[in-house]
Amino acid sequence: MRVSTSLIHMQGVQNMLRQQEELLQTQNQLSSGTKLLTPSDDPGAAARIIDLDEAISQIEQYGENASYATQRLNLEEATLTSVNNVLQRVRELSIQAANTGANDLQSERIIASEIEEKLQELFDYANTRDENGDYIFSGFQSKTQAFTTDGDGNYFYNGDEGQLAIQIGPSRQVISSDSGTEVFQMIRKGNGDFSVDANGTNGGTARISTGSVVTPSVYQAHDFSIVFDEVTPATIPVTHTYSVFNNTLGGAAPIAGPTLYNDGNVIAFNGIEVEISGDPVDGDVFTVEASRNQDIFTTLSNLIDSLETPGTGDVRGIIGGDFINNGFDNVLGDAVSFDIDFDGVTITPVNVAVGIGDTNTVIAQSTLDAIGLAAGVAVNTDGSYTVPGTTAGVDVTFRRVGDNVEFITRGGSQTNLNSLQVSNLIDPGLDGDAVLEISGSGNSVTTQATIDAAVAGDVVNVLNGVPHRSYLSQQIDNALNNIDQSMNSIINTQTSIGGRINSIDSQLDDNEAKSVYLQTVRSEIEDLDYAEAISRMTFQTTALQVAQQTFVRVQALNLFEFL
Amino acid sequence: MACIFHEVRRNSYSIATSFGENTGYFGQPKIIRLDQSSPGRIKIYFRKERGYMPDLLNISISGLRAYQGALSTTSHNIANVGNEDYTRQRIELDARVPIKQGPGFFGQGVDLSSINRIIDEFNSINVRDITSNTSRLSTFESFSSRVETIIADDQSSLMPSLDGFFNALNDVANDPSADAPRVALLGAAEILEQRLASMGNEFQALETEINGVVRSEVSEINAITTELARLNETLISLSSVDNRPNDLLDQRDALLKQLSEKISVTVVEQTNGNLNVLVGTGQLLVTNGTSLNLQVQQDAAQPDQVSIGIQSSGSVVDISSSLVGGELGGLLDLRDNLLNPAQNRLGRTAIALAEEMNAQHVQGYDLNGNFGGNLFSTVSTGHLQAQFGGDYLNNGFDVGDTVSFDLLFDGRTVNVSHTVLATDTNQDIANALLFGATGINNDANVTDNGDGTYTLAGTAPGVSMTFELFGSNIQFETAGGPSPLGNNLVITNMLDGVANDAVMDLSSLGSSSTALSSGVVTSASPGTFIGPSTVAIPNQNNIGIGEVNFSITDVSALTVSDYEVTFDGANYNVVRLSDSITVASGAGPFAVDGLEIVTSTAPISPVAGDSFYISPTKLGAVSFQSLIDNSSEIAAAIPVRATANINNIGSAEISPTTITDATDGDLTRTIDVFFDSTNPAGTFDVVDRASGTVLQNDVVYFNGINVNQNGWQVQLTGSPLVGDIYTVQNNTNAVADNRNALLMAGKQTQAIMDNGNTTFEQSYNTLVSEIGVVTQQVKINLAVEESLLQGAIERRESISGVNLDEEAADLIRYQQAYQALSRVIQTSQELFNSLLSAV
Repeated sequence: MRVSTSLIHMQGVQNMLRQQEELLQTQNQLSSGTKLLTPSDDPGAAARIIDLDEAISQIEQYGENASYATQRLNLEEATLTSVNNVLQRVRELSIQAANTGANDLQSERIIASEIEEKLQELFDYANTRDENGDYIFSGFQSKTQAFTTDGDGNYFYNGDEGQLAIQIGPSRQVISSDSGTEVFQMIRKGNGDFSVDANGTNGGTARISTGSVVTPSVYQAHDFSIVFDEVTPATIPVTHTYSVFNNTLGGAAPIAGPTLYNDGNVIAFNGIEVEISGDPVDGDVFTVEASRNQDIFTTLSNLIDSLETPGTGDVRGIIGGDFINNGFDNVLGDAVSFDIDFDGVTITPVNVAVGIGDTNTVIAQSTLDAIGLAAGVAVNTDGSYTVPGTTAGVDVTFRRVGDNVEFITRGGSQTNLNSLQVSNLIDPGLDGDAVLEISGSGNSVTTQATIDAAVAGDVVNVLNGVPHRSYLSQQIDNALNNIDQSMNSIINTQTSIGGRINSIDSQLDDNEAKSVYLQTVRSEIEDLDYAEAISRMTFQTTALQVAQQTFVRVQALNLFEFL
Repeated sequence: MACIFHEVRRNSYSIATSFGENTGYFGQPKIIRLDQSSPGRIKIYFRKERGYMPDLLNISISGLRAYQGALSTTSHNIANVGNEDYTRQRIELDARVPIKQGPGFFGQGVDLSSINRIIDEFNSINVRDITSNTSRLSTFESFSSRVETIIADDQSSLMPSLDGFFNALNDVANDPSADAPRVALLGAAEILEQRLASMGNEFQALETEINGVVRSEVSEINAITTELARLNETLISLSSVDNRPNDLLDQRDALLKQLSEKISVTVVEQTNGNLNVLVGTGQLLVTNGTSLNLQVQQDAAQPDQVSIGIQSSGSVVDISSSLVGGELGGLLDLRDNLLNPAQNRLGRTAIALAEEMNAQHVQGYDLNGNFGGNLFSTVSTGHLQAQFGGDYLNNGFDVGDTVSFDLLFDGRTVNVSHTVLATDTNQDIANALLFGATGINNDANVTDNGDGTYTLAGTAPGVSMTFELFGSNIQFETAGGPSPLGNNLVITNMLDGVANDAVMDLSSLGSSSTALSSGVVTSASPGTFIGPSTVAIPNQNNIGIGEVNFSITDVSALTVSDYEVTFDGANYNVVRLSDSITVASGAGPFAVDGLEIVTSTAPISPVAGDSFYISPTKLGAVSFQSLIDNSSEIAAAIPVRATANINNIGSAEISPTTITDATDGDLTRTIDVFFDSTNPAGTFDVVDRASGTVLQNDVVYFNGINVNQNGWQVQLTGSPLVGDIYTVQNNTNAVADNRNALLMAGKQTQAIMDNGNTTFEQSYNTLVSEIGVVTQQVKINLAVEESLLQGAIERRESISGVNLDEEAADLIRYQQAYQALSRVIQTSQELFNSLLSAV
């Protein structure tokens, strides 16, 4: 083919230009370290790189989110551990209180004040704040203090049930907080299904056990009362029956009983079993209620109250003895009188007229009637007399049991611990030798067993009540149950937190692995193979040099050179 | 006498006569003429020559002349060796006609009969065509590389700022009550706005630049065509069959090549030397001595672009679409097939992001317990401003009339009425219409803002209309939006007692382009205020006065195409330009591809042939704005929360609330789900606590039941017991609620666009890869065309190029011949001298 002079020139120049362009491309690749300088170099790869960058960025963000969540959960976990430690200490203190001596009010007060401190500590933990000043147990209302109190033993939750969810993976969220309600308030009382209690006005020493559900299929979450009635006519010793009433459904008729009560009876109804042990008195009521929620502060607060309150100190005792052999002459007809002091009320004078030939039983009845007459109170339907004290709600009931007059105080007066004084025994007859035997039973403490009219001056018998141990024991029992429930609840929460932290860790591991994989893929797509590029560059440099040199050579060849 | 004509070559004859020896006439004809006296005959006049002796001198002189010409042509070739447009010239030497003398025919020497260009015309056409392709591709590639840099460069790509925005959202979700992440989110939103604006502006700048380059290309083309016309004229006058002015032809070819760099042309050569240049679909650009100028004008459909027209039978015809090839074709190609789609894509991503974020944000509560506002604004929000009122007393509001009418806005109907009292002034009537007992304020969805304004909440989240008095007129203004139902206010159902002559005046306000269907509202005709949404661009050639508006109602159905709405006399037709499919037809309004297109009604009507251009997403990026500047106004929380009552005995749980309808006016009322003991077993009531109204009665409970009320939904699981209560209430003080922020952050990975198929990132990725693919293709094609061009040029050079060695050889040859002929003259002189000395 014919070749023109300018073609030779043109081709030579084109070659050099092309070499230079390729060399420049290689140079750019080497200095930037990437194969792809513009999307048009490889659009498919460019698109993949954008996807990969996005995915890598998301994983990084998830990692940050996860570390945030972990921080919060760690703080919560540490707080809950402290809370449990506090509760453990309270538990120990409660058991200590349960084991103190019958009249050791002093120790009980000391224990109560330490529990008070623990309650405050607990309260502070519940209001824990994180490094931003947000309350961690307030749900969504993190600027509002979680729990407040009015100083009267009432605790209020001011937050809500919100839980902060944090995105740690494309479709995974982890809950990074628990609301104060969940942790501190939603604690079931008793054994979780039902809670038991003795009425505060109970006079007897009976206690009810925690009990359990034995037949879940039968169990219904209703409220029940177990009511004790004394068997009439009265027996010696006194016996009682109990009846179980369903308060949820209502109804005057009991669903079980009346059943004769024996100490340590297992009472079964509604698929549950509870045990009542000790000595109840007529009218004592025990409740079995479906478990409500009670917050932990109220539990501790109630415990403290119980410990600090000496109890009702109800007094039980007998005025009597063998009347006939104790100077109540029934041959001549004695007229014995005495006074009874109770809670600021003086029953005076109690004039007992002894008839000729009266038996002890008759004399006891006469004594009873004289008490009622002197007190000016009406006779109860069962023949007993109830004399109210000056303190509201406090009274003493007298009844005849066999040949004795029995009395029981009710209502709990703390000022004088329900003490009953019998004094001023006067036997105006010839011998003046009447003797009254006074003895306490149950939880009463007598300072003197007899009053003797013959002894010069009145002898005062003071019967003191003592803190109603059985009531306190019942409260400590209940508190221990509730504390156990609280600790379980907190342990459950901690377990849940642990699980969540684990899942965050495993998600982080996943993310890490994924991130490494993505980075590898990205590097494979984008990164330059330096070895290949450098050898390519060497080759291209050589090629360019050759092109340049041949151009010069060829251009020099011209016929005109030889003319 | 017989004349014998010998064809020397085409159209060229030598004439030989059969003279007898005795005639004495011989030699070449001197003159040939038509015989005037006898038509059809020619007269041939001969030079008288005598003598036997061959004319050495003449022969030599003829040779000398010939070789002089040859040498000058050769040197001309050599001089033009560096001229790219030069075609080499070769001389043609012809021996003269021999003359019979004595024993034989004696040759008479040589003539230089012609100088010819050695050229392959077909190759020239090839070169021009490939040149057009190459420069088109090269222009395209240079601009598309710039577009690549705008969107894909590490610093300038959208992805870092988009990722940054979502990361900031995640940080707010991690710690919603803290101020620092919120402030950071506002910052990230700002950065996003700046990035989008910068990219959008760079695209716009490219568009402007292209317009400018088009203009300069067109003026260069016009200069070339003018020059071509002039050359044409010269060539026509100079041209003859045998002798063509080669260098002028070269010049013309060079101009044609220049022209084909700029635009694809078709060239038709004529025998008289004329060259017709056609462009596009057959428009004559140059013919004979005239050239038609291309004109750059504003595109009739899209005024921010240019189009190219040419005079044709009295009017200017737009030939932009048929211009291909060359730099001009490359520019138009780039603009239409790369730049505009890229802008549309980017805009669509921006609009979708804004709408989706807004839609979620307005469903949430901010730190102050208020519903969130719009986070972003983009394109038009359809702000409507207008008023109604007038001189009531003189406009048919008679004493005793009870005038009533309905206001329809965004799915709400507000009934307004007033009974005219004898003591009423116009002001009293206006007051009553606005805040009287049966006025606007009476409606359940209208709130009294306490400052004299009253706001009607629309059904679409964030859309509202606020009324206030202006004299005795009632002014109103929309906020938020655009409403999916159109930002229109319709006043209808106007009644007044018996006379039915009440009239209200309507007028538009401000600079918003509201359109009214009538100037007054009467009982017979409703008054319509049409929210501006965005106005479709009416074609500049439209005759009618019709108007078309559009707004974006469903971002997931948005495409990246532009649309054209044409009126054919009876119906409007909506055509999607990417695939030229007619997507809707009729009277309107139309809901297509996520757009709501609203056509104006009579008397604001179009004429057959009118058209309107809709480019819904093109300006999405430049008009993207971040609206919130107060960190406490970020709505991270959800408006309602669910709680279980602390005294519940049962073990059921209530899930967190989800919002199903944020516009429900009763959303935040306290609602109790109450397992009433008086109910049948296993059922619950849904009760409004404040009013005690039982909203849902005796609903049968099962594990996992969903309860819906007032726009929220919760799920109950587990075993509730009689007496249990679960409450849903207003989520006040919920500064650490991050549920709305989580939902917003989750939009990053949701496939929202393209009818639920692509995420935001993927839609941007498509933009980058499309541009990458197109650019790559162009680069590949360019390489191919360049090598084809190289081949065509090589072929041209092979045929028409000057080879110096060849010319040098010719130089030697002609020089030798010249020298030899000089010797012959010297010999002839010596011969003559010897003859003279013999006498």
